[in-house]
Amino acid sequence: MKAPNMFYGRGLISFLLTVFRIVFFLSVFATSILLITNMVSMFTNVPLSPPNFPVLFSLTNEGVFNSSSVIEESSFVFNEGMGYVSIVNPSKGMVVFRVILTMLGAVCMLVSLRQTILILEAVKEARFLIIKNALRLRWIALLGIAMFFFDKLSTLVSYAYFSDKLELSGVAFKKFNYFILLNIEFIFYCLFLLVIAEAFRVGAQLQEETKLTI
Amino acid sequence: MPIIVNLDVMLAKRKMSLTELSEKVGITMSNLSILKKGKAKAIRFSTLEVICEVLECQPGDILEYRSEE
Repeated sequence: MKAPNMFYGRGLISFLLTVFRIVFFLSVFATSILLITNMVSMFTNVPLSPPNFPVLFSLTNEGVFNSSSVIEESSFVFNEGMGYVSIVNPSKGMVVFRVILTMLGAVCMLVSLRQTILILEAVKEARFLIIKNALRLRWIALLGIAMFFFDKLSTLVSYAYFSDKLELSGVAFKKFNYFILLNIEFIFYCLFLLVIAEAFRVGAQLQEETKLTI
Repeated sequence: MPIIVNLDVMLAKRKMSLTELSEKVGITMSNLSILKKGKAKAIRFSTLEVICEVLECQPGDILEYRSEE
């Protein structure tokens, strides 16, 4: 006979729980290392490695397009590109700004992972439709939005800051191009999750009321 | 919640135990206990009817509104 808290898919939940726990501990470890190296770098004024900053660019020269189906040579222009530049002596303010936003993003990620682990632990004990889980889902969605905001703020400031400070022959650095919309769908996923979390919360609340109706 | 459940008062007046009431109304002890402690979110008319029938009282004898002030 099955125990009352056994349900179909329990093995998958256990597997996911293990995976998320490993990811959480690795993330904690990586974030700690990142924090320590950045602190050491900031207080000793010795950069451990040149920091990378995202930049937007386009190439000013035309290229040649060789196609076997076309007899005449054709040309192309490299309009929109995104890359990272390693700067040996960047402005300290810019480094601090980027480190703070990276750390805030990492903290949001860690809290999201922790909330996911708590949901999975509750599910493993057959307590899924509870208000606490709905609130945890809501937190995950809100933290996702916050992570997206910190990441975009960091990259947009970097694009704008370096667009008129970098010089390289044949390359025009830009403040805006198509890449500022990169991963924009992530915010919609978070909003969908927020809607699901709210529906879940109302459902859990109704279930609790039904349970306490005598 | 400003709605007070006076089930224990009525039980005392009728000199009836919760177990006895549970047997007579057909509601589990745990549910009656939730009701008695005032932890219930709602009560069905059918439940109220059967409790009133067994305890020979009015709904107002069991439920009371008391302002939070």
